[in-house]
Amino acid sequence: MKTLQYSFAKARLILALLVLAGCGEDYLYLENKNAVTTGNFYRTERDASDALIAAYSPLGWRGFNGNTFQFLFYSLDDRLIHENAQYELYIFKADDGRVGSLYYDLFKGVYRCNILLQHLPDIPMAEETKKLYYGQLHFLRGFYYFYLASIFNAPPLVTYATEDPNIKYGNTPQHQIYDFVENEFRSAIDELPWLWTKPEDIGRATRGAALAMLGKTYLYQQVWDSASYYLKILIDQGPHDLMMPPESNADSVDYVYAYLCNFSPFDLKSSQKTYKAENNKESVFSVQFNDGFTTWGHYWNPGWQNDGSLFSAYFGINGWRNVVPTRKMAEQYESVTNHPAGLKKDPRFYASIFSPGDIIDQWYPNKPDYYLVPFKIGIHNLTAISQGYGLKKYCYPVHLANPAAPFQDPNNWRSLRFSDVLLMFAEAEYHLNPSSSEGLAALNRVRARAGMPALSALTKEAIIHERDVELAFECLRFFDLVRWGKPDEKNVVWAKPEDYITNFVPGRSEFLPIPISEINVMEGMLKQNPGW
Amino acid sequence: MIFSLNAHNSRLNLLFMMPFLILLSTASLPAQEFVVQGLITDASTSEPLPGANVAIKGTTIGVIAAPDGTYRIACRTAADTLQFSFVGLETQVIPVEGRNRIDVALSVKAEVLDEIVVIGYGTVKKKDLTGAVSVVSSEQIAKTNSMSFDRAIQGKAAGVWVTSTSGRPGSEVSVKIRGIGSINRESEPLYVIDGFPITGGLNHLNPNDIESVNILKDASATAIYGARGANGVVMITTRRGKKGEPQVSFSSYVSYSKIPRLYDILNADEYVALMDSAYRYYNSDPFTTVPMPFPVAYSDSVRALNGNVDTDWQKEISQPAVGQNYDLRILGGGEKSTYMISGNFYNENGILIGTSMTRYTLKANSDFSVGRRIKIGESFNFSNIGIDDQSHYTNGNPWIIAAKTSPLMPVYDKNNKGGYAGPTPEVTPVNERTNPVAEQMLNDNTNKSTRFLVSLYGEVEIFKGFKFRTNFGYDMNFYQVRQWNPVYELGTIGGRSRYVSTLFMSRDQGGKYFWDKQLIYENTFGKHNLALTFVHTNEDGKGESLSGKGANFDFENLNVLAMADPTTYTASGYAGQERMESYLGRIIYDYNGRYFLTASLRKDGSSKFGPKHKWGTFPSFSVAWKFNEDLLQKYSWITAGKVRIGYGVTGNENIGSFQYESYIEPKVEFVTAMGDPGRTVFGRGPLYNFGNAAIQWEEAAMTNLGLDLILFRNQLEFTFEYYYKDQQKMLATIPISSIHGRLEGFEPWGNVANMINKGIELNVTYRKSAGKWKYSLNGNLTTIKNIVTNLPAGRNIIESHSITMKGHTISSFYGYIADGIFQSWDEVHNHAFQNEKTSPGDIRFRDINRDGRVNDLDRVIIGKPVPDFTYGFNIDAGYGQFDLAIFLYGVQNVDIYNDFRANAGLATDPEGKDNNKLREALDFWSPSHHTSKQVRASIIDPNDNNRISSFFVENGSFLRIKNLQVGYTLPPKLLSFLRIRSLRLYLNASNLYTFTKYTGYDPEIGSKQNLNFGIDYGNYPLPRTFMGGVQIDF
Repeated sequence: MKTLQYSFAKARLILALLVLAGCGEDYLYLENKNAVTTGNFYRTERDASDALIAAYSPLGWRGFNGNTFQFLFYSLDDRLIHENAQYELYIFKADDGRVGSLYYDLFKGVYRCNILLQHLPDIPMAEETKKLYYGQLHFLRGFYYFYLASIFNAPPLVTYATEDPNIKYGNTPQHQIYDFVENEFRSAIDELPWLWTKPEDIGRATRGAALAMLGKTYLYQQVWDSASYYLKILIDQGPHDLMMPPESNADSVDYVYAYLCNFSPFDLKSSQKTYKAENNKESVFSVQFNDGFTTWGHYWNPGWQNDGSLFSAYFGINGWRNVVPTRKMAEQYESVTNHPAGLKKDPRFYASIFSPGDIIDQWYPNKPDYYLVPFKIGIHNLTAISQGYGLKKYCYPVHLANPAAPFQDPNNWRSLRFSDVLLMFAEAEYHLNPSSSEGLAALNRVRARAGMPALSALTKEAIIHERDVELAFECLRFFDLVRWGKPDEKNVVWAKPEDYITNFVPGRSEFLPIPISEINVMEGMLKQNPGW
Repeated sequence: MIFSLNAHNSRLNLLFMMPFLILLSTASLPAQEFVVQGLITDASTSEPLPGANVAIKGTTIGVIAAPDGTYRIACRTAADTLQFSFVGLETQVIPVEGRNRIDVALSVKAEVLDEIVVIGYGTVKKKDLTGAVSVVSSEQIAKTNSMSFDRAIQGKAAGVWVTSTSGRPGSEVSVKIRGIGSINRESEPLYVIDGFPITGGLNHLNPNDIESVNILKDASATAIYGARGANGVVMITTRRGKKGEPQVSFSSYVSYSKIPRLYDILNADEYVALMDSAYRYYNSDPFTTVPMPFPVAYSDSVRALNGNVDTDWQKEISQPAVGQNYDLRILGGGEKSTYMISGNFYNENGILIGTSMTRYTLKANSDFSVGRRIKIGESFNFSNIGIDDQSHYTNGNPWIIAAKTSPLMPVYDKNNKGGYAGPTPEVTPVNERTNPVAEQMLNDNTNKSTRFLVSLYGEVEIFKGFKFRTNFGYDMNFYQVRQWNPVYELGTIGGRSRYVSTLFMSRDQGGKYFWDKQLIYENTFGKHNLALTFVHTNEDGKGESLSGKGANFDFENLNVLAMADPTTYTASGYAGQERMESYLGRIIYDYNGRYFLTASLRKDGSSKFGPKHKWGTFPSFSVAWKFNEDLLQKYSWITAGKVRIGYGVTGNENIGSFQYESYIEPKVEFVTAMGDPGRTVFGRGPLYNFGNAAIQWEEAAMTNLGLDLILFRNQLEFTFEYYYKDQQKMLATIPISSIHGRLEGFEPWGNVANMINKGIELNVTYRKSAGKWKYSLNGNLTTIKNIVTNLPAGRNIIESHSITMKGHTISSFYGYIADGIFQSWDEVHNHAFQNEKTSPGDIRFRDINRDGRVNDLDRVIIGKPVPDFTYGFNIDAGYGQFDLAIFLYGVQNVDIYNDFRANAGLATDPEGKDNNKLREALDFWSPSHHTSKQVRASIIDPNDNNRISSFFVENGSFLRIKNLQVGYTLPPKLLSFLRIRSLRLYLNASNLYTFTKYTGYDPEIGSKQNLNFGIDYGNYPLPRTFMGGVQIDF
């Protein structure tokens, strides 16, 4: 009996010890069901497609083209007066929020390209499709880095997406970043199509966009032959052309609309012709915006979410008017005596600038009467001190009539227009051979669209002037002045930025400061740009 | 458990009837007499004990000793047994055995020494403790008449800093044990109810169901809870049955609460007078380019036309509030089983209109012995809590709105849909504040939570001294929210009206399994006593939520989602899961009851952390020496003396799940447009949340030194503790470069910060009885010194009012130093630049860095929200049938940021909204009235006078008469007739009076958050409550 009891006890002991053995190996491994994680994403073509769209997103984010880029480079544009006196006087602190968000958003774009490029080899999909993915990602990564280098000089070159939060990077010299950017665009040229055939793909990067950016990258480095070489391929072989008024019966409205359609969200109609506004043949690369109010989100959070742009709300005469054109800008437009449509002034003046007495309806007919608002200075909160002119490019007329309308507008930002390509080509040609007939032809092609008389010679002044009036308020002027301020191969300085931009200090002001938070987090490895 | 619930219910009915049955059956007993008499004395003083109880055991017959300590009782037979008792003294049971005279000397309860302390996975005698443990008894909890037990432990235990977060019914309190336990989020202790670790919902437990609360404070005690022990562990033991006849007790109280005081706010005439000055001074200001005319609405004639309204909004939103509580309990048992059943109904109305709370609880505990070796038992706790807080603060905190809303606005307007007035250009052209009464009365916001906490245990004695014990529990929560906002009109400006009716509902359901298995071996080898414990536990918690919203109800009385406009429906839901697995080994050893050693090692695994960091190890050891028997034997007045030293490492795993993984953005966000025409295309980008695979739990290494002295035969009890808590690897978000593509606000967590908390704790208790008098005095004191010893380079944590930085107390107030008021233009011009419109009468802020400009860089630490020390006094006294309990609680050397005064106390108006103000604004600075206490009057505030500055930092020290209770126990003689064993009536007042220099409603500003606390935003004040109650034992 006693032994039986003893073995009973033993059995119970063994049972108890068994219970204590613990749970299985994977008991503590759970799956997060509320979120997709980096661990279980990037597996299918659908994931790749989503991630590619996400790599495009920062283009239109608040920190980049969803209008911080414009906000900053409008203020540094000598052709505009900015309400922000600090920016206008070129005073930036290293912890400036806008400069920070521009830097951050550009790097977010880089990161998104990096991580998908890392995963793409393992995602099963057709090779042809994959090639298109590579092309777009190389283009985008090059695009983001082009702006990082041209704005911030020597940020870190990061080509790998790591999840180690402690990794540190130092500066990469600007020329090395440009080398990287060139390679990115060069690969994209081979991988991308001239045109996307499906309507839903409009807005994606094209071979033309890659060629234009590659040419621009060389131009910014004064590598004239390469710039000319790649821009010429685009001009000769690409599908792009300028939006032109009809050759016959063109009236003054046609000339204005042919140009203005490049900055309008709406197709413009004159009695003669319809001018397709967005993603037309003149558009080489545009950042796409939409009116987010139509789909979801009944709250205002524009730009950041890419749903709509804010150019009109911020800068337009009907918005907060952070900027207004200067009188000097208005005076740059030539007077003409023999314009085909009988205009007394370069039609680009009417398409770019509001002046007192301008009838807004003129550039946007077929809409209810409430657009018939004669423009007069001071119809809305005038924040920048106007010299009598308002910004017409990127104006969204719906705001004029209905101040309660959503701030967003669906207007795309035209990053690269074909006329810019022509003028860049002309400039590169001039440096290679000032008597280049191809260069002169390209310049005159731009003038011809405006009905302006052809020039007989390609000159430095002609190129500077034509870029000034053709590309006004497109955030190119600051960069042009900076590169023209650098002596070219003949030791010629085309235009000193300090003559134009208030408080411009050579050796410092060419670049914005790298955000202080980035310098801090790199713990001494990343150095600030000189002078900041 | 449904089955057992029913079983208990039927038993409940039967037991409830029992006293009445007994009453009927004993009424006809024949009278026989055997008289016993004698003298009852106090053993320690030999003084007679008048008022001592003598009762015949097993009956309700009893008498009370006369003033000279003598008694005389008529027994039924010579074989009866007498029970002698006196409050606080050890009860003696003496069989009569035919004697006619029995003298008794009652001595002080030995419980002080023999008190059992629950230490987690076992108990020890208090005298054998090696760690720092505070005990709060059920009597102490009962005396505070609190809604939840965590309120009741305030000031009762050294080292435990309890602050109420709000006076709102059902609001939680913040409990911080030994300083601030963490640099992020909350650091509330771990609560363990009958062995079951729970999270949240302490309101669910009826405080009267609690037998004892044991607070494990030092690491040598808490390390057995490993990864969750760093913030202390609160062990709660609920009442269980006892062998014997069923004991039925009933208690109840009603309460009446009111707001202790109102802010001194301007009435209509004063408001208009101040506005008149504000407009006049604004318009005469040299900087004013566009003059603002004094609104006609404020003129006497228009006011008369509007009916000379003078609304006191504070009065309108507050109410005297009535509450009630009922408790019924039955406990008893036989040889092989015991039981306890209780039910509670609690209802409390808030002193803010539209706020209330109701609670129902049902609890049943049973224990069974099966054979000689097996014990089985269960605990069951059901509770349902409903909380109403109508406005849901949709338009801001009602207490603040009430202070700012114009007194010219009437409360009601029958022409408006809903019946309430709101801001209109005719009455309040600039003051567009909402009507706080309407917000509270028209909206409906209700939270309901239901909780089942069920556990079973089984224990087998495998052989002598060796036991296997297992606990299995399930904790189920069901949480409902209902927010109904009807259509109503509140004026025509300020957007206070609602044009769309909406209903939001959510359902959260969570359940957690808990299972532990323990092997316990206890034995004595000569003078060596040994107890070994080995435990394995696992927990698995799951939760799911579902919420939905609808709008546009055609029939507002039919406000269920089915009646909403179907096109407005939206829904959402989440699911979560957490698991934990742990191993624990512990050895408790002593030699001869003099030298003690406790050592433990716990290994915890948590699903919250990444693959490489799931497991952590938490060791502890402590030793104690009862030195009096070795060294001080000749001093007989030293009853006991013990020193203790302990060290241990514990953890804090209080962060969200899956922080080690990076998330991909939800698809609905961050879209881009693509295509022709541009359409929105959804994409998913990486790093919605930047995961850091390296994160692990926070660690705290704590050293504890303790000294216990018991003197003069238990009359004086003294405990001293010194603690030093070094918290390392604390989780904070770490700065990260944008090269990682992360989105702002989703920085990864990293184990980067270090902090120290140190201090001493003192607890002194003195007990004495003399004659009819009997009393005990208790004082306790806790000091806290908190210093952040490390934070990542340049990563100070700056919140709205505070900064957390290396070398300073966590969450120190951070702002400008106010250097008085500018008295002249010269002073303005000679001072650093503040604002181009700064004028005499504005606050002068110190230019710390002397760069000639007052800006962000001139902010410094201006206050400390952690007190130097907290203390409590408890007085318990009895005189005959009367008893008195007084409890005082105090906090010393602490700062409060009076944000309410910054908002409503200045004569300038930062919002430019003609806000109503505190009366102190009438003392505004003017060229003819120079003062340094108040700013100039203006309708705007260009100098930003209300910025975070030392102007609003106040001394938050206070001493509060937290509780005062007077009770009277009816003499047993009276009651024996009613078959009632005891009946006590009492009156209680809580938050009776507060001694403080603080100018706000209430200096007790609690927050569970560890960053940005001690800020008075106009908190819901703690009510002053008066109660009357009765406790009956049958």
